[in-house]
Amino acid sequence: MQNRKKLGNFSSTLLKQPMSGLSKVAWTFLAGAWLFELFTPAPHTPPCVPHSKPFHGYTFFDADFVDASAAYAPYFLRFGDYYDRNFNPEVLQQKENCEEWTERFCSKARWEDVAEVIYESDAYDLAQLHEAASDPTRKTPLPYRLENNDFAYVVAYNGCSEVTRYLTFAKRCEEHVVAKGDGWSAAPRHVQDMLELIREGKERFYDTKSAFVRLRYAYQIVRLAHYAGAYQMTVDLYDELMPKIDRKKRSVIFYWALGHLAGAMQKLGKYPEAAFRYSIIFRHCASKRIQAFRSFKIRDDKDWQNTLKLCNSNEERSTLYIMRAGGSHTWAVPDMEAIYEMDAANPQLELLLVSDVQELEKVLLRTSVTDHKNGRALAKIKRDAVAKHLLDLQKFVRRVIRDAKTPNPKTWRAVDGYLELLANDRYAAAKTWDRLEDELDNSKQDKNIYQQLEIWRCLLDIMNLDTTASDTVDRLSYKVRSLEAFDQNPYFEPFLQEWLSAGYAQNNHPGKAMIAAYPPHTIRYNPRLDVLEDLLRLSNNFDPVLLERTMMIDTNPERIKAYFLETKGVYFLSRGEPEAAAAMFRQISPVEQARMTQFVPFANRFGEKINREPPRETALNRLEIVEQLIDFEQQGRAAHALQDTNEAKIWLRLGDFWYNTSFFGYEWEVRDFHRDGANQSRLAQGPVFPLEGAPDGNRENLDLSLALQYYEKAYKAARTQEMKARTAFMAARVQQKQWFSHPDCTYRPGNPNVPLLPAEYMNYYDLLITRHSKTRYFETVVKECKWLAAYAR
Amino acid sequence: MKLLLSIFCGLCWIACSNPVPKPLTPAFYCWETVFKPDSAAISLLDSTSCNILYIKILDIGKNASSGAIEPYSRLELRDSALWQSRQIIPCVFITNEVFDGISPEKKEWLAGKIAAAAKDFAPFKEFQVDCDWTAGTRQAYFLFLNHLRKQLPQSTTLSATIRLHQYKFPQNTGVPPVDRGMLMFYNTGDVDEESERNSIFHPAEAQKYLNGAPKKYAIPLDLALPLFSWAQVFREGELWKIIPGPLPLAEMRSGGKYLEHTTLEPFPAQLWEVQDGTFLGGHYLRPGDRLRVSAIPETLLLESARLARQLDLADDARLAFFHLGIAPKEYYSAQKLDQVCKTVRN
Repeated sequence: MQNRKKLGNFSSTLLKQPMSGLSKVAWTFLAGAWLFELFTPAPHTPPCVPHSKPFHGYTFFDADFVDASAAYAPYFLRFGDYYDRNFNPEVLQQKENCEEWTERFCSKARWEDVAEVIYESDAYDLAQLHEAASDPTRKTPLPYRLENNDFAYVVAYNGCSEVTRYLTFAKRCEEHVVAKGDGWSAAPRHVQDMLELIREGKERFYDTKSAFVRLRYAYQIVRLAHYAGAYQMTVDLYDELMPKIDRKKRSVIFYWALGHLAGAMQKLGKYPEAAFRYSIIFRHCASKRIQAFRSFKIRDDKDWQNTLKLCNSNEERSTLYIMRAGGSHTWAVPDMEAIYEMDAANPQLELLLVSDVQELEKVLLRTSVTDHKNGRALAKIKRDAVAKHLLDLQKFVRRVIRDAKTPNPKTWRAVDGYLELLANDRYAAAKTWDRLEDELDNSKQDKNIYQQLEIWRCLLDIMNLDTTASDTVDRLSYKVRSLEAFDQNPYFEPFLQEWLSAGYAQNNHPGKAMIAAYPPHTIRYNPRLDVLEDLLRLSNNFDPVLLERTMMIDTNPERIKAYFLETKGVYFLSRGEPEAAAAMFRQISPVEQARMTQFVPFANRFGEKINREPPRETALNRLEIVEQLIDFEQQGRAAHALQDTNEAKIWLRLGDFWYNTSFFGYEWEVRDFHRDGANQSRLAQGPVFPLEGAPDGNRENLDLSLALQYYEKAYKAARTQEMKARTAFMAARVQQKQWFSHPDCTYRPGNPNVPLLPAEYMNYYDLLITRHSKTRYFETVVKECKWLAAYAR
Repeated sequence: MKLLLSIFCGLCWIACSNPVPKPLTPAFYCWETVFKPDSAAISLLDSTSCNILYIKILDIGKNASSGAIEPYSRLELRDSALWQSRQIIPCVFITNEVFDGISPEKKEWLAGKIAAAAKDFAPFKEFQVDCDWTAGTRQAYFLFLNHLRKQLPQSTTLSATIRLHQYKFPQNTGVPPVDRGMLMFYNTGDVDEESERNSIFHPAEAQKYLNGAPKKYAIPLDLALPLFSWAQVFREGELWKIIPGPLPLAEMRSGGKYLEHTTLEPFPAQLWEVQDGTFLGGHYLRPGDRLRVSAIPETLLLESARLARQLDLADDARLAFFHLGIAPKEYYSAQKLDQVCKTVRN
């Protein structure tokens, strides 16, 4: 019948479409094929946990431990958003430039004043400033907006018209080189205007005496050429202008110009030449490190060999190795050794060191609970090889300390201690840090190391917690939580919970392990008997850890015990064991029993709503329900033996109970604590479904075999047609839901079409329609149930 | 006699009402950020009489730190002559994340931004949106498409890409409110999985999507087939990088830096293990890294075309090959591609 209805819809849709050359026979064939498809199994899609966030592992490095000016560090290290917050390359670039101007003017102006003139003034202000600087009488006032600007005053007072002339030129260049588009539309490039500015700039370059200003003209010209897309011209201009500048004094502007030269060379296909220049920028210019690292490109081994050939020293070569190793997120000991051989004092070596230790942290600071909570994200090969890598790294670090060639030996010693901790040699780690701490002074670097040691000592305290000592572990955990370092690293709290949890699990306390890592309510998603038994044992002993972790439920130990007993009772009830459930519920104190939620699970309803109505006068708590259940069972057996006319009614009630308290019933909560409606669309994957935050997933009561069993008994025992119709309808509903949970079922909730059931799931619908359609019950129910109405048609 | 006559008439009627289906019209995707096809690409276009190009003009995503919706690449047009000589269908790729929690105002704003950006690439008769939407983002994405339709010139055909899972489960993911769909008949594998067979296309995996898929899709469908290869680089058991395009296999075999493994696959995915540190495709590979190369040889391309016969394609369907930039042109002759177009219909 359902087929006919669906076909009807299908055909009407098709009739609206042009026939497209297909014959009626073909249509019939297609319709048949489509009908076949209705029975074709649905795919088994892997379960997914919604809203899950990626977790890459714990790290306990302090962001200040390595060189804070390392703006490229995000490519090497995992410090969350630290660098995004603290190192804006644009600000760094402005600051570096302004500091050069400040130095040039004998520190007579703050760099912020310089920045106001260079980056915030408009063309009018600069023109006015130029007039003031060019006026030998010094009577021309400063522009209004720069009246209180020391840099503007010094420039004007000293008549630095060469500077102000340059600044007005730079302002004109700015509009061609600053990205104007928002990404949605292409920023227009006025190439002719840019070429004209290059010509004018060259004239000015040759007219300028100051090497400081000349370098800046050269930079503006080279940059304009690069942005104009004139790559060969960029190279030519660089080669023409840069040798004409006195470069005794190092300037960031040189590296900025070099960046444009490298960019142009790359566009011209000169990859080794470009890569070599980017490596120079990477080593020496903090404000352009990120861009240099991003732009560095070696296509193949030939490029690499040719780039190495361009290097003039081991220092330059070692930087190339650093860039090659950077961002690979894997063990880098061989790279570090190669770099160390070439350039033991390479300032970036420590970044690779920290990067490598972070890879070890990812693996070694991960407990079984971490995996359980976040999934086993790590590659097996990496885990298997971790011990070897730890030893290799320890060997290398100790060699660096022994050789005493590194400029930061204390940093390496601190890491040596941390590697000992990661190797689980906690005593040695503490000793190493004790010795180091004695040598730390008040320098900024040593303060940073001290801060790092505080964090690692906090971690050491956590790892030293003895989970077998229930009486002290809670007090000591509290002590650890009160440490300043604990507050500073957001990873400490989850790590502490997982560390304790793993320890408890190892000491045969699965319940304690569970509540150490997860909020107590999560045990109810898919209760485990071993967990509940452990928790009940602990609650009898007033275990301090248990009491602390269950404070969010209640502070009354009796209530906590009742909470676990009720959970355990529900566990048995969900598995169809009312006697065992009753035994649990009876252990709950009378005071707590009075607080138990009440339900009405025995009502016979045919609606599909799962919302529970407010308890009525007949509502019962779970203990009363299971007692009633046991009583009904006995009554049913007695009625069967005595051939009592009430037999069918009793079995129907029991059937109703198991249906109503299933995932599909309105009183699902009697046998479950959490129902996720989204699981309706993936029933076949159950009964345990993934749920974020649920340690063992979320179990739904999908098994309706008990309900069907009782409805079948009721149908057999029914003496009237009305009762037969009622029980057949309920059995039909159960069969329909059983089909929905079948892996081959393609029907999903929300589908406007009536679900089509295979013959073996249609027994009771067929029975109802063929044998009991003349009953009052059928007439009533067929009006309410559209599916039945459709099947009946 | 009457019966025979009736059968004869019936057969005649069936024969007359089943015209020979039109072969698919060839097209190519251009998915690079710079539109400057090389001579080999132009030659392939000419020899296949391919007049239709689907060209990506914008890549739109969500800024990880600010959460702003913004383009992270925009097409740079270097060959305007070729642009003018073909029928161009501008495409935008939008990450599914964009539609996750997007406000109604933002949907309209996004449609306006894209329509405005598209004007730079006018004139065009069709505009395509590529997004791997899911059941969760379906509503937002479809509303956005409605907004976009209003903002584009009235006569524009709006099309959208359809992934295989969206084709198979329209009841979950819905059917986008567009004039045409482009079914991407590839990416059947899991790229993160090292044990995955050919991750671009595998007939057995593709067949799973076809089994149980509705026989009729609600909008006319075009077909996209893969014409590319890539190498997944697995580092210590995790996917580290994907290197697109054909690899220098001869060089890899002779250089002594790789160990080649043979596979028993009917459509082999080559396996390589790095023995010595080396650069490949701009990435430095370390000893122990493993490469799984997935490619589409002619036999597999024809197999995909044969499987595509089961799809509900439009009568005037196009067959777009993905994509011109990394297609190994030397392997695919015009004749072969023409045969692929015909195979889908035969």
